Amino acid sequence: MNDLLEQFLVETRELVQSATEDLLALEGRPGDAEAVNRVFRAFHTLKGSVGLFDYPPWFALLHAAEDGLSAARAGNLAVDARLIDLSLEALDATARWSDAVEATGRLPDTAAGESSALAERYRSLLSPGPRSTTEATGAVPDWAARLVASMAEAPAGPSTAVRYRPRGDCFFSGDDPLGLVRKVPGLLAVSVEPAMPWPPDGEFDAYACNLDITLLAGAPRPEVEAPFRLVSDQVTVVDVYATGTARPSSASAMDPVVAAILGEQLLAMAAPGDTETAHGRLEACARSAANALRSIGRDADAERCREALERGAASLGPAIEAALAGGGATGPRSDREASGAYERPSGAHGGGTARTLRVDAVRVDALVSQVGELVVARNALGRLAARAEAGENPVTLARAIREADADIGRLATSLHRDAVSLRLMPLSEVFRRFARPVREAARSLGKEVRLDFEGEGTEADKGIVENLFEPLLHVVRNAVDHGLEDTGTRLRLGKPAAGRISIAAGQDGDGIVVSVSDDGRGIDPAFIRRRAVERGLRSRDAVSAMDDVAVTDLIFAPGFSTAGSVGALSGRGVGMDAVRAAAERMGGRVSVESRAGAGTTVALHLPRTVALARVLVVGIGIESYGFAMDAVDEVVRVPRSAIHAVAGGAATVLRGRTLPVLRLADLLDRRYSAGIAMEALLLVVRADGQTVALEIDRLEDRLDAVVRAPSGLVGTVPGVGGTTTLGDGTVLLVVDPAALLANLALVGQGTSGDGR
Amino acid sequence: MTVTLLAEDGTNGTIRLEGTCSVEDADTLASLIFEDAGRTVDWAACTRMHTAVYQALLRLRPVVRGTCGDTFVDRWLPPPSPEKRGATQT
Repeated sequence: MNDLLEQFLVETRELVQSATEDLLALEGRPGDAEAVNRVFRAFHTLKGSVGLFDYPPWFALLHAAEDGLSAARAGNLAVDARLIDLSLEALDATARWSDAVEATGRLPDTAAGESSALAERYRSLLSPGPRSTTEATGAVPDWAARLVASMAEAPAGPSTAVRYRPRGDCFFSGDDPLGLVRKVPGLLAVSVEPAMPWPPDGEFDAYACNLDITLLAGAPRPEVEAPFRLVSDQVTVVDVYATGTARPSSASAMDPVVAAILGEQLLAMAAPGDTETAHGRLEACARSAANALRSIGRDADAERCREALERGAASLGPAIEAALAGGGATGPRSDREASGAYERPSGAHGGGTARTLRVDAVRVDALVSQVGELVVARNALGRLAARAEAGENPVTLARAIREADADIGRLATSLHRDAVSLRLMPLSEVFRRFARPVREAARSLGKEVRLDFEGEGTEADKGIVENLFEPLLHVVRNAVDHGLEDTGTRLRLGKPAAGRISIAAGQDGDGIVVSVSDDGRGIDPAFIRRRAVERGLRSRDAVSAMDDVAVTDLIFAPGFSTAGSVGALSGRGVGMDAVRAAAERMGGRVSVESRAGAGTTVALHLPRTVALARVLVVGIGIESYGFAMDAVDEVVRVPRSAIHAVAGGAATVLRGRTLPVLRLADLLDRRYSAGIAMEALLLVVRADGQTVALEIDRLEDRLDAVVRAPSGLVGTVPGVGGTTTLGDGTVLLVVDPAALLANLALVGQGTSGDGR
Repeated sequence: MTVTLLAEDGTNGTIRLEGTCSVEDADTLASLIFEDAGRTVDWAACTRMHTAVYQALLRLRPVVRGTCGDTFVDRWLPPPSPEKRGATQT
């Protein structure tokens, strides 16, 4: 299995998991708009990822699901049990298909039928009114079978068959039936026959239509249906899949790999062996056969093998043979009903194989040698205990204990660092997944794009790298779709015909920064101002008071989508707010820089690892907050008289620099009255190139801690970059100065220091 | 008028389809074939054929000459004359 597919499977399972949780939560709270949003995004991302591979039925299902959820998100479709059940079934199918893809590299044969059945249910949710007659999938009607048979070779993939019987008087209403057929994309075959036997010679009404038109097309069903939407009462559409013309359950439809696996099991069972191991072998054979069958969706056959095992060797052999011959297998629907409770184990199996980590052997060696040192250091403790028992002088003993503590502390720190580094992986893993979406995006828009990578050797935690693809894909698609001008415009502006998109990564202090730059038209602040007002995100006065940088930042506001229309590619409104949310989930943030006419750079600033950080604990009122020590330049006490009121705030001069003075309590929106002491305690922090002084009430502690990204309720507290657990079990909120100051900048008061 | 009868010596004449053949042309075409079933139809110059015109050819099955100028018809529909029927079907 290639890396790309492996990544895709891991990601797919995670998305299925999270979307399932959200759907289940929605059952209890149907009004939770954010949950609907998350489910929609999950399907949106799933669809995008599946699109990287060649699984048309899967893509069609996710596309239909996305349409349904998009309507639910826009409030055009009720979030009710039908939608939730259907979406859960779609996720189920996705989970089973990813297992099948992992096991066999392909979708189960039943996927096409199942996909079109589920997709049709989404469509019927969206338009409950009468539709073009749809015949049950699975059984291909004769006319469609004849059409397939008329072709020199059967269609390679799933296709759509249409039977169009124009009304007799259709010529009078200006219809040109073949004119509609001309518009069908991906035509494979067309047949035109008289609908009724021609009347005897000599009688012919040139203006009465007596035709029966059938066609087969390789394009997705909605595209094939589109030209006939005005005559849908005269049209029948069915899905025909690659093996659909063969009987779905016949042996020829079975995956050759699965057939080979089944054959192996028969051989293994026939082989001579002692009676002691016979039962174990039988069980292994039954399990392998059942798994193989389940991987192609033949759950009923799998179940039969399992049942046969309980009856012994004499039944298992025939059961496998029957499965091989295709005997007893029924349609996909009854399969799923029959198996019901039995689907879960295969899911659990899939979950267990997904978590793998490739690690450089050198890193493991370093870890092992450090663990060795730790064992030695521990021995010292035993000796110390013996010395204490011998009644040694407490003062010398205490010194010895401190030394041992320092030793073990040093080792623990470096062990943690090295263990964390095991999870580091290069960003190239993510970067190389962009070539194909960018190419396809460019092609579908008729643009030329050159994609450059830089710094793909930069490493970050596996959790970060794996979660980077989704937000980055949004940014890249936006760049291709909205950032780059079309070729004609570029040439007119004197730019090279091919737009340039560059994805770059680099170290940024303790973290990493991943940026996507384009040399397109840039973001027009005037347009953003107008759009923000239109969308009701800000008042007209508010946007005109904001500077261009703050205005540009509005692209990350929820509900802001710069697309004028819904494009296939982006612009469904899942745009940049999803990117900001993703960055924040990872404990980072996102920024944008743009020059009109010259291009845009969107940068994600992310932590590199879940590292031990030195944290300074400060107090305001009765609360305590942590600050990453790296961000703190110094802590000073200044007389209150040295803090001057200036326009829009307060400032002080510290060693010749003027610093804005802000109350931490105000920034965190905590209502504590201003200090009355003669001296103010100031924490001088630096972030994003700004330096500010934050007034706090007291300094409490400093400690080494693992800072985790905020989640749950804590995630919504502005300015909080993470949490850490203190020795006594309480949770300390760790302030992210950059986020704190970014919030400040968003408010748009321009308090950024004048003394940088 | 995109359906024209060309009288040639020694033949029953040729019915020539030219340019866009609309629904009205179907009746003209049918009458010309009814008048003399021996007339051949030349559709090489027809660039766009209406369904009604194709239906007339399908019903009356005259001998059709040349390759249909309408690429859709040429690519996807069998020529209606009995001799060649099915020849270009894919």
